[in-house]
Amino acid sequence: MYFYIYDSFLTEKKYVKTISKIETRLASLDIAGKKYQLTILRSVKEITDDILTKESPTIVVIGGDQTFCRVVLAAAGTSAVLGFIPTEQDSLFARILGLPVNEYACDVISSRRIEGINTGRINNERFFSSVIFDANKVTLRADDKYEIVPQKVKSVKVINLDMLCFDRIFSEPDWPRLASNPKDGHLEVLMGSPEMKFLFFKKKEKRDSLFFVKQLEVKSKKSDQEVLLRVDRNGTVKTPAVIRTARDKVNLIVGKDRIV
Amino acid sequence: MLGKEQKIKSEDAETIIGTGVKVEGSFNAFGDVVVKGQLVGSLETQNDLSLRDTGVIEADIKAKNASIAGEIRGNLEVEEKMELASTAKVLGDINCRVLSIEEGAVLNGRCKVGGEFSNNSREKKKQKEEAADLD
Repeated sequence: MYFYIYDSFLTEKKYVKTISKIETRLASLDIAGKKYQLTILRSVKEITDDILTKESPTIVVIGGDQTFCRVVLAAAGTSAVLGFIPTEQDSLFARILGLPVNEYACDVISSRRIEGINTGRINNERFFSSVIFDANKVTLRADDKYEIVPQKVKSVKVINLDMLCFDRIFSEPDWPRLASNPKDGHLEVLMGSPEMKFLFFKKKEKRDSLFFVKQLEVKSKKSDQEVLLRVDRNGTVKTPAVIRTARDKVNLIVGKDRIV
Repeated sequence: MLGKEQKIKSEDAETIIGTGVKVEGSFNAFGDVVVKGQLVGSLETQNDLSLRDTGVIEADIKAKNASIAGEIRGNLEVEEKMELASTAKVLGDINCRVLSIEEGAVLNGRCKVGGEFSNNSREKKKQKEEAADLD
């Protein structure tokens, strides 16, 4: 059975038309289902846990990347199938999973092309997309075998499912591939300097190094100092941290134009 | 733009050690390796190694093919072909099947070139794999 989780911002008036079109398309494809509206009083976790008690559910998130990411983390390791109907033109997951925006994504949901995608772990928590932190404040040990010593890089991005860049996409001869592979059992570790903007001054993003690891230990250089790691563009975790691939997979409905 | 986007397949994953990074320890690479920065310790890959002119490796190296334009202090075991560019500087022993040296390259060490190494290493690898399967 299909369960639809509506993002909290979709209650705004400007989305009435979009929602109406999506619901009409879902009904015509015969995949309409139970609707759950996210509010301040009803959290993603609460709703997802409720849906997961049902038999073989298909959970579809209508809305933004953040909510989709939270639902994925709550449903990882279960047999539930997850779909996403993005309502934002600049959705990262829409681009990676090959999903069109708004009602056009309904056809992809209906076709049910399913891929098992890995999740990552940072300490005891799961993450889905990436972890970003300052390169100069930490020491890095990969796979318990070698140290990566940052010398002229500013940021580190540990990627499970994301584009291989900090902000913008560049095509450079050494970087022909732009998306990570979340099915190979490795995490991509991208090191470099993100784009800098200050008044009229602009410095282009620089991607310096790329490693493939199963585990990365991140410790603060100064024992009395904690460094914050930004997880999935949303939460934070403090050092010391161990980032690794998780065994749990999540079953995602993907489009034919996917890049994973 | 979308046409250029693609995922990294396990067989063509390319580790890049950039100029802003130094690696210390036993580095077992997943796929091809491009070194533009520094590596100290040991380096092993079943695929290809490309050492750029800015790269410095102080390590014993094992690779399938190697293209060297930077500096190496250590011994190299290359299963197939090894190319030394004019900017290459190797201080160590070389063991490979095919060797190509460009004018201007520096090589200071013993050099063993021919089919024997490659066959032996493959046999050793097979024996290892068979032993692992038996375990």
